[in-house]
Amino acid sequence: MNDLLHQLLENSTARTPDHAAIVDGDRSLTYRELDQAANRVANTLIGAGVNRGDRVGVFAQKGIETVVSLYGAMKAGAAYVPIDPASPPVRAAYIVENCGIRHLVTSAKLANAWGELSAAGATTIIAHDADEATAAPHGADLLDAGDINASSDKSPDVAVIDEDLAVMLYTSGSTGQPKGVMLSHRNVMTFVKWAVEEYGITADDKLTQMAPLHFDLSTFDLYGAAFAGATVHMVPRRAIMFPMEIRNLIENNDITVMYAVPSILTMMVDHAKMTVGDLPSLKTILFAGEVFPTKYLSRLMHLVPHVAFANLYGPTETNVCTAYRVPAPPDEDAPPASIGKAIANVDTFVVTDEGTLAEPGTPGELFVRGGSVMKGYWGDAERTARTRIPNPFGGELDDPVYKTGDLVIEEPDGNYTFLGRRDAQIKSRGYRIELGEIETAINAHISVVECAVIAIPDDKITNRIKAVVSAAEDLTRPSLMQFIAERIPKYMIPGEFDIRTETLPKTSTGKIDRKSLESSELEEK
Amino acid sequence: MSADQQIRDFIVGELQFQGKPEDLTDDYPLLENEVIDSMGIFQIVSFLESDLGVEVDDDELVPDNFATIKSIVGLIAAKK
Repeated sequence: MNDLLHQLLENSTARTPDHAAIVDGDRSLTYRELDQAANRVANTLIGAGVNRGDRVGVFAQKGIETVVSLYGAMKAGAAYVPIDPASPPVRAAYIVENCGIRHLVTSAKLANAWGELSAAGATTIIAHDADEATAAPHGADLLDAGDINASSDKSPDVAVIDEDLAVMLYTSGSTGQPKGVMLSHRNVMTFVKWAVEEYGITADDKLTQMAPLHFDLSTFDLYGAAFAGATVHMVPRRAIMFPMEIRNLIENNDITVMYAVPSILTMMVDHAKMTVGDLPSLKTILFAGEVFPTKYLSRLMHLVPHVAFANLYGPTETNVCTAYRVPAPPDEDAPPASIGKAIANVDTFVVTDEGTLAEPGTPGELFVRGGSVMKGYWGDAERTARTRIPNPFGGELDDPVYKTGDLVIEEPDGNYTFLGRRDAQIKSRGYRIELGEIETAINAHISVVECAVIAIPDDKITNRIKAVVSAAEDLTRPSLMQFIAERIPKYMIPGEFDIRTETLPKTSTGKIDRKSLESSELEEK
Repeated sequence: MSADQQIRDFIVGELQFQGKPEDLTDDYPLLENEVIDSMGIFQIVSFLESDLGVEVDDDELVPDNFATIKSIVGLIAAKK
């Protein structure tokens, strides 16, 4: 059966137990080894009281043990919740508390955050790299490498169905706190099944794993590889920022499939010293998460003419829901690549402001229905009900649709063109950011009177973020940056600050005039 | 001001170093602890170019040259 994500691992283990499943630097595990290691973690979790339906936090730098932990959590019948190890402890603790994580699989390298997370409710700490000398935080149990190794390596065979939660991904929330997107096994599998078939992934393929695990892109590399019995190569976070490192990793490991955000690919065009025909092993480059600047897409396609390119689109709430194969290098000044058409087992349609179905050529909001639509936001039925609604055109069928908030237009060839957002959500370097979450963090500072965070379009990273802040005279930029760095992830911290003592411009209704702030920004350019 | 002090000030002021300033020693692991991340790396490269007059070649844009303040200082010294 191929209904559950961890079944993909088990099936490939049965077929090719000795084939390499995962590679991380000098280390690798075969399918059998990965499956057995995941079983040990699953049995450790069950022994520590994990029940079907629980949420297990995974708080560690990505690597072999982290992937083992994801599978272990699912095999125990739980959903895994990846928590960015680089996020401020306050945010990590919020996630633990928000979805009631009691069990945290983590690393001793992050032990300084354990106290805060255990106070938030994670009272069982499991760490592959901990030993008897590692101190447990006050009031928590610590299970170390010895405990994991002493657990059975046989599958616990917990009854799970494809509608059960597999993973929760926390994304930026407009009200100042991240929100947990609930994805079932079926949600993720809908995308994985389609992607493996569409891009012809086989056991011979070698896929990069580039995206952070709390990012939905990671579901392709991990489970697409497991589905096909292919090998996934973990790209360490520290390598992601060095274009030559990424290039070397692709060349040294004969990588065939790469899935990345455009800002990484853009960086490779500029700094990886590539010439035409480089990266000969690569067959496919998939990109998603933000608009790929056409100039760079065109240059990259000319550099690697042997590679097929595709643009995958979809908010975390629907994983990937549309896709587009880029047929040939576009002109450098052409509009951005299309986001394509709905993938298999997913239905999409465009709805006008009046609530009617939009004809091709008429802009509207993209709605999505089908297997990939999330189960909702954890613990927030009200927010869920705002975007995951009964299908207005469903007739007798009671099926949920997701309102993406993305404005699109259907072109004559049936492909969608992305036009923009309906709200203040933006992308920067592939990260999805609610400007409101940044504003909430800034407004929490005692000296701040009011602020507006604006996005300034940028041709390489989609948007730069600027904060315009009205504050008491004593507020300095470093102290404000330090303050918000304790509340929001680094990628949300504005690159520019304009701190002034006068108030911000207002509209006739008394709201901050964001448009005038944005347009004065464009004039300065 | 010495190069290492200028780099230290940049890391504290611009890259939001979270620890105590005295923890930021010459050997503090900047990449390992994500003081320099994918945004920070280009900020620091443009800082080296604009404020210290050091052009960083693509070949030099590797982890070994940015692992610690000491390694960044070493990169600068090697180029002068």
